[in-house]
Amino acid sequence: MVKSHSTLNRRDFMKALGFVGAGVGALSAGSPVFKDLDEMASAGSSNKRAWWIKEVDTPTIEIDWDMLKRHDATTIPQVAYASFVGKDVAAAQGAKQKADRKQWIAEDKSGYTLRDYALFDAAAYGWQAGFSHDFLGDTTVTPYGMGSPSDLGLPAWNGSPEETTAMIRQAFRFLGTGTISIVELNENNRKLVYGVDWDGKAIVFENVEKAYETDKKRVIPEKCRYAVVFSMPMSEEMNKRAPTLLGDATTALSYSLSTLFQIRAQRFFRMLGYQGLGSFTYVNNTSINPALAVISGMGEQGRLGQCVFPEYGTMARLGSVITDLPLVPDKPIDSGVWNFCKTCKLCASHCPSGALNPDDVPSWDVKYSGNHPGKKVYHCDGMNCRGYWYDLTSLCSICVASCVFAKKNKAGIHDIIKATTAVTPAFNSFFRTMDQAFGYKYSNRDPESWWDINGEPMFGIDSRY
Amino acid sequence: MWFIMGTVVGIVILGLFWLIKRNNLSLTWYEWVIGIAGFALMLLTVQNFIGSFLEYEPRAAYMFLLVTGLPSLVLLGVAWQLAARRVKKA
Repeated sequence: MVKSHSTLNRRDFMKALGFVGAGVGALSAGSPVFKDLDEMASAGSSNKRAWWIKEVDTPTIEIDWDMLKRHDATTIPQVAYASFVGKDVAAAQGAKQKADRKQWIAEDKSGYTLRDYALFDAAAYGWQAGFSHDFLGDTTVTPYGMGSPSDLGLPAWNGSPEETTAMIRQAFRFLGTGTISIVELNENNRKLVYGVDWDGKAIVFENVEKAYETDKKRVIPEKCRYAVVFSMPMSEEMNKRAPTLLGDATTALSYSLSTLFQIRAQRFFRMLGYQGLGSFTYVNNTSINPALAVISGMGEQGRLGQCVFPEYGTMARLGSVITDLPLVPDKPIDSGVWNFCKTCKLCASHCPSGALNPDDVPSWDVKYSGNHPGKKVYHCDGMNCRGYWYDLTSLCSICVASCVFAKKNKAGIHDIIKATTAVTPAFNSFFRTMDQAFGYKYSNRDPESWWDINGEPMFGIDSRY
Repeated sequence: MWFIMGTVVGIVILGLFWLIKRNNLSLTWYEWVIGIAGFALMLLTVQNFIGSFLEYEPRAAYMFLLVTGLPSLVLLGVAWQLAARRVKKA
């Protein structure tokens, strides 16, 4: 029999109405509300983040922009270590490191076995060697490509900064980055671009159309007013095995993927008809990426001298590309991280080299010549840190692994705690104590147990964010 | 995990209302408060117990049983006893 009328009674109807109402309410609570078309057009230009990550006008650390100068990268430990301790000392340490590593592989030392070494070496391919990347980007026209718009007599991409920023976020996420943030390179923020690059070349801003490079300098056109900062997540599960070659493998892979990403990001800008300027080697030359990330709200400054991300904690590495494509800059954030770092001190207490600063209050005073003066932070003694790597034959990373924010995201308690610390610092000390009581210790895993884990995600990274 | 949690919550709420209706019970406001607090704590425990194992953090998982699981059972027991004794008296 065909029912031509609804058999819904009044009770069922009211019940259904309740469900529909609740559904509409929930949807409208979670959906964006636009006041006008401009707001709708720019909706995708900003990050979608948790409610407790608050945008603020200035970073949570104090910065003295008059004191802050463009830094000389040849003074940082990665570059200056040998001249700091003496070339003979550094050479002897390097030789001992190689001998130790060889011996540990031969002895099958946990975390330094041949398979661990092979994994690290494979992960590092593309980071220190392998991928061809440079300041100006790769200009090769691929067999399936046609060149940039100007090669074809076509105009460059033309869109509003809001549309363009939304496009960049979508494209960069697809090309393989975690999160991105945008810095306007105004007079102050330019001080976060190195004045002297890792290889001793000056980095200068000039009033020219196109970026160029000589034996002495790398030139950024004045019109390149934006830097896109990108994060590359790491595997917390592997990094918990620091300081070993397994712990290093995720660091190496993150840098390797970042290198590949930088090349792709530079090409994306080029194929839109704009310039993309990046590191000439590794991915952390040219700009001080953690500083750019802090100033644009990707994360906050941490005690360990790195950017700590609300989404990843310390489990991400950074890169950046400078461009003349007009974009919408991001604001700094306050997610409670900097306040938490003031009381936590786990990274400093675990640091075996004593490089990290356990003081109660941050300071303007630098620890050594490689520090970048002009910010009130817990300056680290980078040379001590770098020297310790030789003893370990690895990249250490204990500070990164011991951070309370370096967690996976399966247990809901982490989000509750992060939200609470963002709202009030009153429970910071309690949370730090409970973190250790609950057994979230960086050293609570046998390194070799990683090989027995089934179902690890691709690249060891949880890509929820 | 969230789907399973949602299903369990739905079943528990349905069961509770079915019991109340069948036995013609009426709970006082403080029995509701204690019961809901216990139930919320129980949910927190279950989610974090499973989540911690998924994070390969067994010690954290067992600590959740102790730190939040035990109080949740106490609260649920108190709510149940308060209601049961009140009904018995009446």
